[in-house]
Amino acid sequence: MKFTLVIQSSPVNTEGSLTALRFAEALIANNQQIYRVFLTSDGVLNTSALTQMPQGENNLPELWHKFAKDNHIEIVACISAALKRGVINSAEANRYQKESSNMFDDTVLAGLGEYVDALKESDRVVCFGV
Amino acid sequence: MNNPQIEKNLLFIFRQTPYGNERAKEGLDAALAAAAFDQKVSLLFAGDGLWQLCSHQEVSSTEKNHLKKLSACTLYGIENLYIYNEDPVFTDWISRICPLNCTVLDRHSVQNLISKHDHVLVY
Repeated sequence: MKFTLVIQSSPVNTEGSLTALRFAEALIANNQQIYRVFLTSDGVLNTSALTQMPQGENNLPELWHKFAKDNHIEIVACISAALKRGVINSAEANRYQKESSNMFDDTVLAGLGEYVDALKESDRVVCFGV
Repeated sequence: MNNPQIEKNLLFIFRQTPYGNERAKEGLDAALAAAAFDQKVSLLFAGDGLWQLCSHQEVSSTEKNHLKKLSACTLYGIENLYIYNEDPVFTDWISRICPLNCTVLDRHSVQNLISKHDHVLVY
């Protein structure tokens, strides 16, 4: 079955992102397909490569980055939600003349069209972050 | 878009107040985008989400009026707006003052509504 995960919760404060990661790992372990992981609302913070957690705590942006790389999964962050929260890749940083960028290189910044595409193409869509 | 012919029944559930956080705004953006890409979209306002339908929303010049944006739903082909709240007095009051055409549901009807949609997105 084709799944899309929509993550709306920040990597800190709430459990949503960690729950989503565990769910994603379980999907892969059970031979299910993940069509896309879409980050929106505070979920876009899960792609900030500058996140540094205190020792012994989960660094969810790094865990998601590794998971996506190991399993060839596309992580897409909503561009408007990301930019207004200071989550930006080098291309957008150039465009808006910002001094630096903080997104993992392989995360895609895209509009809601990619979100709707995922809703259309997937058998199941699961939201995390209520 | 790989397969433009695939059309899904989408239910967006709004559970948050219109201005306390970005949820209502971002959820509505997603719902309007889905409708613009020819998906069948219904909206359910539940819990604190009913406040999004409150008339006379006054905002400062740097904010956008959420109800005004919600009113654009019909232009996007979103015809089905539903309300559900455990509090009958609050539900009745909102349904009377809301300028949009909404259907009040009971718990059982909400279960039916959810089960007949392909995907449920909660904001």
